Order: sequence, then C-alpha cells, then structure tokens
Amino acid sequence: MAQVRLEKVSKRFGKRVWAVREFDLRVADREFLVLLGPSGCGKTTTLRMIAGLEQPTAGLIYIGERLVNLVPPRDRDISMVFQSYAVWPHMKVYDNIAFGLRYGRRKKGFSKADVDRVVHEVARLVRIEELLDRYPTQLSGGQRQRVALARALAVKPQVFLYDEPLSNLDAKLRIQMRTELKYIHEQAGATSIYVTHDQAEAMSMADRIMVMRQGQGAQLGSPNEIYFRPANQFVAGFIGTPPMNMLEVEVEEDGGGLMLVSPHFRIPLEGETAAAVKGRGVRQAVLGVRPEDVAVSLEGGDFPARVFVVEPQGPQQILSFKLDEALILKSLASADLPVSPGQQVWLSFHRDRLHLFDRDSGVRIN
Amino acid sequence: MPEKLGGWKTRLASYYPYYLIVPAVLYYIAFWAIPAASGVALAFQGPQGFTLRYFNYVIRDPYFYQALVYTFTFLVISVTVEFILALAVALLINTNFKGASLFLFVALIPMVLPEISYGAIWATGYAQHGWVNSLLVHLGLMDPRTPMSWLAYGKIARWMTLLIVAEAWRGLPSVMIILLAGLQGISKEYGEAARIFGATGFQTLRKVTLPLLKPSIQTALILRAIGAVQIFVIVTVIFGHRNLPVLVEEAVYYFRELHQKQLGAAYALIIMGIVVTLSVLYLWLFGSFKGEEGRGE
Repeated sequence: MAQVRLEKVSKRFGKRVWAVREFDLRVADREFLVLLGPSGCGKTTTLRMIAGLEQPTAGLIYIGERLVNLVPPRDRDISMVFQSYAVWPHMKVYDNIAFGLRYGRRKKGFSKADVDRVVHEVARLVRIEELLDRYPTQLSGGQRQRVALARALAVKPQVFLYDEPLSNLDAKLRIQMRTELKYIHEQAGATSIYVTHDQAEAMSMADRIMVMRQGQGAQLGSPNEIYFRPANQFVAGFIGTPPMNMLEVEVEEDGGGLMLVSPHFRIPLEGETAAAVKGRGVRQAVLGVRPEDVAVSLEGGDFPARVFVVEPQGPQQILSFKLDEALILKSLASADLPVSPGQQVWLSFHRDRLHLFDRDSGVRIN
Repeated sequence: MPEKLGGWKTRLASYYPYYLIVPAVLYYIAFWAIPAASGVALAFQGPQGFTLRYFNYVIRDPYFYQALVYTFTFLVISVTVEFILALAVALLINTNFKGASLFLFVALIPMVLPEISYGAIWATGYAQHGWVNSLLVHLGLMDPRTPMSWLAYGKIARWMTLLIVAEAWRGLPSVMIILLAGLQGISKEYGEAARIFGATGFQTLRKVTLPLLKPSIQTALILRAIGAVQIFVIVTVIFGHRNLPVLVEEAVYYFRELHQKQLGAAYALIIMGIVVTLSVLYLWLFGSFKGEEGRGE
C-alpha cells in the first residue's frame, strides 16, 4: 500500500535551469495519476526523481511512509517502463522478465521454480508467453513494449512509473495499449504514475491528471475537472483538440444585468458566472469557448459569421470563422450541417460552458 | 534523342565507381601488394625453387622460442592489464564528472607520441638516476643512497614488468577511447533499468554494460593483441638490441643485421600467421561466427 508524496521538490540542472520548482504532489494508494504537460515542463524529471534516477536539489520524496531521498532505486520498491523500452537486447525475453527476481533484495525467497512461475504468469497477462525464448531484436516495437511491461509487473512493486511508454508505438497500437495498461493497472493493484504529453492518453487513463508547466503544477484534478473547469488559461488551451477559442471581451452593465462585449458580439451573462464577475468587479477578461460549445445554425443565434474553412472529420466537421485579421474562431459541428466556405451562418455559445479568465494572470474567474 | 536503356552510354556510366577507385587500387598494388607478394616469394624461394628451409631454420633458432615465449607472456599480461585499466578509466570518464573532457584530453596525450620518443622517455626513466627513481625518492618510497638499478642485466621478470608498465602508458589510451566510444553508444536507459530492477552497480556492469560493450571490447582486444605481437621499438630502445628478444625484433635482426632476407621474410610470415590465428581465435571466443541472435540493436 503506497501513496507517493512530493513536498516542495525542486531540481536544478547546471547553475540556472530549474526543471522542477517547489513542486507538491500527493498520489493516493492505487491511484492512476498522469503527469501531463508540454515537452520541457519537468514531468519526466519529476518521475525520474521519484524513481531515484535523479537527485532532487531540494524537497522531500516519500513512498508510503518512507522518506526515500537517500534510498537507491533498487530499494524503492518501484518498477519503471521506459520510453525506449530499455529491454536488454543481449538477454532473452525470459531473462529480461526474470532479472528483477534474480538480483537485488527481491531475489530473497525466490527459488528457481518461483521465478519460472512468476515469469509465465506475467507473460500470460501481457500475452507474450510464446515469445519467452526469443531475443528482443527479433520482436516488434509493440512486443518489446509488452516485455518491458512484463518485467515491470514481475517484481510486484508498490509503485509503477511510466515514462511516455506508448509514444514510440503507432497510433492504432497506442490506443489498444491504453486499454490494456488500464486493465493491468487495475489487476496489479499498485499505484501508477504516468508521464505523457498526449492529452488524449491522459484523459482516457487517469484517475487524476496533474498538468505541469515550467516545472510547476498548473492544475490537479480528474479528467473531467481539467476539461470542463480548467483552472487557468494555460490548462484550458493545452487540453482539447481543436484548442479552446480565446476571445478578449469587456464586461458592461446593461440595465441591471452584465454583458460580455466584443467587436463581434454581445452576450448576456447569467447566474453563477455573472455573480462571480460582479463580485470581483471585473471589467476586462478572456472568454474561453470550446469548439464543441460553439453552435452553428442557419436560422439564427448570438451573432452572424462567414464560414472561412471547412475541415471534415468523419462524423463531425471543424468550421473556421475569420472574425477579424487576427482572430479565427473554430467550431466543431455535426457533419450533417450543409455549409460551404463563404456562406453566412449564425453562431451561439453554450451558456453553461463559458470559461472566463483574468486577462493578466490567466486565472479562472467563474 | 534520349539514350536507350542499356545503351553504351548507360553501360559506360555503370562503371563510373570503378574509375574513381583506380588511383587507390594502383597505389595499393605498387606499395602494398607487390612488396607483400615479393616478401612471400622471398620466403619460399630457394636456389632450386620452392623450399621450406628458411622456415625450418628460423624455428630451430633457440632465439625463436625465447622471442615467442617473451612476446606471448608480454601479450597476455599487457593486454589484460591495459584492458582492465582502460575499462576503469572509460567508465570513469563516461560518468561525465566535472572536468571529464579535460581528463580525457590528458589521458590521450601518450597516444600521439612517436614510438621512439616514448621509448626514450622510459629508457631515461629507468636509468639509475632517471626520473622513476627521482620520483620514488620524492615520494619517500626510496632511500636516495640506494637507488634501484632497474635495468640490471638478466633480470627478465623485472624487465618484463618494466616493459608492460611502459607500454601500458601508451596502449591504455587507445583501448580506453574504443571502450569509451562503445559506452557512449549504449543507451543510458539500459543501465537505469538495471538499477531500478534491483542490480547493484557491479551487477549492472557485469550483467548489462559489459555484454552490451562486447563489440567494442572485441575490437580493442584484437587491436591491442596485434600491437603486442608487433612490439619492437620500445624494447630495443629501453633494453638494447636482443637483450630481451621479441618476434619482430628477430625478424629485423635477420633482415638488417645478418642480411638474410629470406630468413627475415620467413619470420615476417610466421608473425603474420600468429596475428591472423589470434584474431580468428578472438572472434571465435566472442561468438562472432554465430548468428545474429542476441546482438545489440
């Protein structure tokens, strides 16, 4: 049973580069936590510090109740799946999987028969039993990934660490492996910490996501919280494809109510959002609207716009509207809607799904 | 008119690469193939045609066995010592500690010295008032009133040690650089995975790093073994002519001192045979003749 706790952890490379800065994180026992962020945000460095492959410059790392800052990787009771798989090419698949049972402290109490039983057990779980006698060079990327996974499972660790394990696989295999990884996580009953830059992967696998930016946490929450209530403009813009539309707006009083005003539209604010804006006395803001929350209609709506580009996506189509020279608004509409470039249509925003951010700090207002 | 496929112009163009290597081939024929062939001819050509008498003569020479034994003793000990030291240094540099590149630069200096000058450096070093004794006195390891006479005649075991020390100084960098290049080609994640899955530093080295380094180890060992068989200049510079006979020195001795060109040529062929046998033996020991199984990526 292991929770993982990071307290004010920092990592500096060289004299000036702070990869991670005063980073706090609590991963609950058996949780699947994803560290998500653009490249260079410090997510892999964080994972490597938990593994013990990097020493934090400052801060404390706990696995379970144990402070592990000075514990070498082999004694941390962890497993890791690497981006490059790191399956040893000079050992047969069997020996790769058995490695963790033959060396280090785990080998105590493991007879040859025990090793054999565990190797076959995990090989069956990841469906590579028939490959045990092969060398990794004779395997495909996907199969090597499974070997890496089996090796990680064999030692029955308290914590699994994944460093972008699917990024070297082709798109189809990646989606298939997501499902399997999630299943394996549930079977193994251990805590998992998973690093990725792929938001779809994060959304589909995580219990909670920690979005990272420049070595710090930008938001921690369930996939739905991250998606539907992004805490700031960075998270809002990073999650979702196509990305959220960001529109600069002014707040005006209009006969007791509040209006969001831009050169292109006037939208009345209602309920909770209006109260939040009023309470803070906000005059200017950034309005975030996800493409799927921009409804397109031929009959009428909040404001008219001309279709600029149409990108079919099968069941849906992405419609772009050039509001002015610097501003393109995107909408995700049903493919059934008969539109073509240059055509005039009406747009309206889904009222309950408006995101308002502070223009300077980018922090969520409503 | 476009040229027809397979027409004479196309055919001429397909020979183009061969025109490019003509100068190099001519060079090799003139300066390598012809001398080598005439050397072989010399070794087998008696007054009445083909003969093995020169080989017969060479291997009956008592100096031949001495040279053979000394050369092989030197080879086995020197290659082992150099390999272990070079591996240690390469592993150290590969940790990329602060100042590693400067250290690498300094370690490579002996490699660029001409053979004759490093021979001279050690010959003066081993002299009674040489720098080796001075160094030992400075370090307080030796009483200045009783300096060591390193080169005292006939102490073969001591000479062999001195030779191995002197040659290691020069051979080490070349082994080290090959091993270092090999180490840098091994993905760090292999070692990291070993550490995570329970291996100690030494187990990681033995079970992961060294097996992956095998191709580089093989190259380094073969090159050093060939170098050891060919040891010659440094021996004569430090110990004088024929005091510690080694194979190449004997070949040169027959050829230059005795003007027995046929015997020299036969000697050279024997040395070549030894080198080729050694190389094949190494490759066989390392399993290079087996299939592609288990090779690195």
